[in-house]
Order: sequence, then structure tokens, then C-alpha cells
Amino acid sequence: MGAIEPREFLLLAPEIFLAVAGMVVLAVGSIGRGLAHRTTALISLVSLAVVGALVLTVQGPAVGGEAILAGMFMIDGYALFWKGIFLLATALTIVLSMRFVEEGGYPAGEFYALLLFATTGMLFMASGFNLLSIWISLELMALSSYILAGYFKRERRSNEAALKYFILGALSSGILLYGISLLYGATGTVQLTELAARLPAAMAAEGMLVSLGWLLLAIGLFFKVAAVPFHVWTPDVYVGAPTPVTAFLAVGSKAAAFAILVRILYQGLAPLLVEWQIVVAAVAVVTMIWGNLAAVTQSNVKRMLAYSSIAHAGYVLIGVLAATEDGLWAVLFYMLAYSFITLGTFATVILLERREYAGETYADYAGLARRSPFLAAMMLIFMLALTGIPPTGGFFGKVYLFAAAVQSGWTWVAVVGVLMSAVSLYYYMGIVVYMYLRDAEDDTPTPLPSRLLAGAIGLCAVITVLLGILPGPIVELAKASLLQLP
Amino acid sequence: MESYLPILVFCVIAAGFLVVSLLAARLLRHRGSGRTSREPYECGNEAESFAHDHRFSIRYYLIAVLFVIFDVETIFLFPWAVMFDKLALFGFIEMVVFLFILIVGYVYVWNRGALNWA
Repeated sequence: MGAIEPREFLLLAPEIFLAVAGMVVLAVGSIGRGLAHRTTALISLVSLAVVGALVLTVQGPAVGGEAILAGMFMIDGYALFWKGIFLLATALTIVLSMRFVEEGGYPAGEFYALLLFATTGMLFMASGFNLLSIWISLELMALSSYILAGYFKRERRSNEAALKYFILGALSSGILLYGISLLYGATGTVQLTELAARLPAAMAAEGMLVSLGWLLLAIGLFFKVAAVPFHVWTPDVYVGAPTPVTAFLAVGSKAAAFAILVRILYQGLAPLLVEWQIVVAAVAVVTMIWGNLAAVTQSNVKRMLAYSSIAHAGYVLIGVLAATEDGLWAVLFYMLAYSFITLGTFATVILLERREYAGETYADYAGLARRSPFLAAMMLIFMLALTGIPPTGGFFGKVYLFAAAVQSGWTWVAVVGVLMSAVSLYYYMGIVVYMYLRDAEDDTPTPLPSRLLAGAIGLCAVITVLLGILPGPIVELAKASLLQLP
Repeated sequence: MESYLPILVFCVIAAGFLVVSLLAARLLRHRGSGRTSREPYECGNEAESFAHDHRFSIRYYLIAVLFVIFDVETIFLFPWAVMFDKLALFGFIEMVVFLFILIVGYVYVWNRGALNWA
């Protein structure tokens, strides 16, 4: 282990800058009555832009792959692609939050500071190259998320969401850490490349220990991506959390969890490929079936979207399962498309929510096409994209995922995916039926209270459609962001 | 597997200790009579009500959490101070960064009024 050079810290400039920005927002927001919501949000957005520029200029030249700080972190194209997703997701979440948090009557400083801290954790997760640095980054993200889920502290449901999220999150982190400790016991290392190198010998000597270790590790990660049967926390948390936070959890946290899941499976547990493929296949199938079937029975839109996000975790696992280059870039492409689709959907829900939690049932969408043709059209695009109907990014995302699975011989899993997508048509189109075919009780037009939010929805819709018409550039970008395969 | 034998022995002794002490206590102890012996001990005064009928100020919780933070800070400072010569400038900078982060938190709780008792 060589000496650590100061240059290696410079490579982490984006993460360090974001952490400092979060602390500044927190400290400044606590002085007197704090800054206005808009000012705080603007500072946070500017910080994210600076971080994005830093990622490109400082870490960009290292896309070839550079392990820093004694193998704790890895700067490579794969990490950069994820960081792009996280920064975009957080920026859009801030736009979604501005009015919502202000109207809720809650302070601005802590909210944006926690968002920035969670994003810092995600950026570190994307680069994490050692099970412990990955775990600590994950905790930074998770602890911030627990508080964000309970941010509307005068709301019972928000309290419930935070408590359930915290208890199950702490449990899954414990399981994850236990798995890590068993793997360390068997191999004597937690650094991913060393782990992969020592696993075959450890398998021969301590088979049980290794099996238990990686299984617990995988279960912890399945908790974080909300895969069945480790999904029970998701619906309650998604429903209870303030809607912008729900969007952040459904996009940012899920993407970050997939970033580390894929890196750990592909790079750390590469010698156990055959074993983990079976487990991932089983979890993917159960997740897709249960997520979609449970979504059918929901009457609350946020709850339906929670089950839908569980189902989508199942689809992404199909790509992870393939363990080929095609599967990997399909995962990256899908997560990018899914992020914009989901953020757009939640932004529309936020616009329709009247007072804090009202306006979440399907019935609230009745006659929306007449009350607000713009919102109805946007929701239509997002619902089509979530189902996977062209011309939207959701279509190509699913095609790439399923194709990768078929090519690597997992045809039956892909077939389940296609069948379950057909089931999902039922509940996604349920909203469309309400919007276009049912009459509202009163036909007064729904005002668009925030141009900024409407603009964000429009942007998400445009990107969703663009990804469905011209997926080429993003596919090329994803293909340039691959990991070394097992 | 032999190397795990001491752990097994340890577990047996630990469990045995528990069983023996509980059994001994059950056999030897004075059999108390009813209500009085089940009341919380209040230094000889009669208990006026039950603890869970009362609400406690959230400040107790805040102070306890803040105490833990600075308690942990000291735990990290101590080994660093002992190893100061070996860790040299690198260790010093790392510790300054660590303290800086904690000070930001301190400034925050101060501004938010968590330290005001009134």
C-alpha cells in the first residue's frame, strides 16, 4: 500500500465541494430566520452545477479507471455515468421541492442541506471500491433520507414513513454489514479487486462462510433497491414521505443502490457469477410478478407508483442478471430513462396535490384532460413510458434489457418481464382512463401554480420522448461507461 | 473446527452462569408481598404516580444526543493525540477536517437554539 498523494484528494474535489456546500447551506440556514426558500434552492442548484462541472473537468480525464486512496474509491466511466444521473435527479428534485416545502411551512435550510448530503453519499457510492467505503457512503445517503422522509413532522404519515424507513433501513444496513464482516473473515479483505482475487481460494477453504457472507450482502442490497421479498417498507414510505422526497427516493436512492449492487456483483463477487445469477434471477422474477400484481389493486396513486417502482427494480435486475456488456449498458440506459420518467410523474402528482396530501386517489384525476389538457398530456406520456410503449424512452429501455437477457440465455426471465409489462398496462392506463374518459365533479380548470414546475414536467416529457426517438447518443454514452465484466 | 471449541465452552459457561444465578436468586430471595414491593423505589417516599403518565421535555433527548456526539469526538481525539508524532501533518489535517465538520454542527445547534434551556 503506497503513500497517499495529495493529488488523489483533488480527484475527489466534486464530492468534497458538495459536502462543504451542504454544510454552508445548513449553517447559513440556521442563522436567524434563515434564507428564503428560493434563495436556498438557488444556492443548492448552483452548487450542483459546480459539482457537475468539477466531475467533468477533474474526474473526466480519469474515465479509463483510476483507483485512489489505497483502493477505497475508483474514478471510472461507470462512476461518471451514475454521477450524471444523481446530479440531474437531485437538481430536478430541488425544482420539485421549492413550492411544496415552502407551502408546507417547513424551514428551507435543513431540507436542501439534507438533499445535498444525500447526494454526496450517492456520488461516493458510485465511486466506492471497497465494501466499507461503499457502506459508509450508503449510510450517509440513507441517514439523510430517513430525516427527509419525516420532514413534514406535523404530518402523521410523514412520521410513520420516517420511522418505518429508519427501522427497516437500519436492519438492512446491519445485514449488509454482517455479510461484509463474514466475507472479510473468509478472505481478509474488503477491497473489491482483492476480494475477487481471493474468493476462489476462500470458497474452497471456507465455503459456508463465503456463501453466507455474499448472500447477506446481496440481501442488504436487495433491501436498498426494494426488490421482493425485501420491499415491505417501500409503499408506506413512498406514501407517507413528502412527494418530492418520494421522487428523490424512487429515483436517486434506487439508482445509487443499483450502482453499488452492480459494482459489487460484477467486480467484487465476479468469481461467484454462477451462484449469484441464480439468486438475482429468482429475485427479479418474484419482484416483477409481485410488484405488478400488487400495483393493480391500489387506489392511491402514490402507492401504485411505489409498487410500480418495485416492479421496475425487477426489470433492471434482468439486465444485471445478464452479466454481459449489453446487459450493463441496458441497465445504465434504463436507469437514466426511468429517472426522467419517474421524476416527471411525481412532478405531475405534486402539481395536483392541493393541501399537502390531498389529491392522491385515482378519482382526483377524473376529467383532468378537460381541466388541464397540458398536465393530462404529460401524465399520458409518462404512463406510456412506464408501461414501455413507443415512442418513449421506457420502450427502448425495456427492449434493451430483455434483449440482453435473451442473448445470455435467460429467455424465461425475459418472458416473465414481457408478460408483467402487459399486466402493468392495466394500472398505468387506469389513470389515463380517469383523465380522458371520466367526468370530473367540477369542470373548473386546474391552474398551473408554478411555471417552473410545469417547465420541469415539460423537460422530463421531452427527454422521455427524445430517448424513445433518438436513443443512439445515450446508448453510445452508456457503452462508453462499462465496467470490466466478470 | 477445533479452534471454535473455546467459544463453545465460553457459551456454555455464560449460559450456565445465567441459569445458576437466576435459580439461586429464586431459591434464596425473600418472597415479597403484593403491591408495595412492586412499586418503584422512591427513596422511602410513596410513589405518587406512574412514570409513563408524565411527559418529558424533548430537550432531555436533544442534550443526550448532543452529548453523544461530543463524547464520540473525544474518543477519536484521544488515540490521535497518543499517535500524534507518527501521524504527523497528514493526521493533523485529517483531524482538523473532522473537527471542522463537528464545529459546523455545533454552530447549527447553537443557532437553532438547542442549547437554550429557557
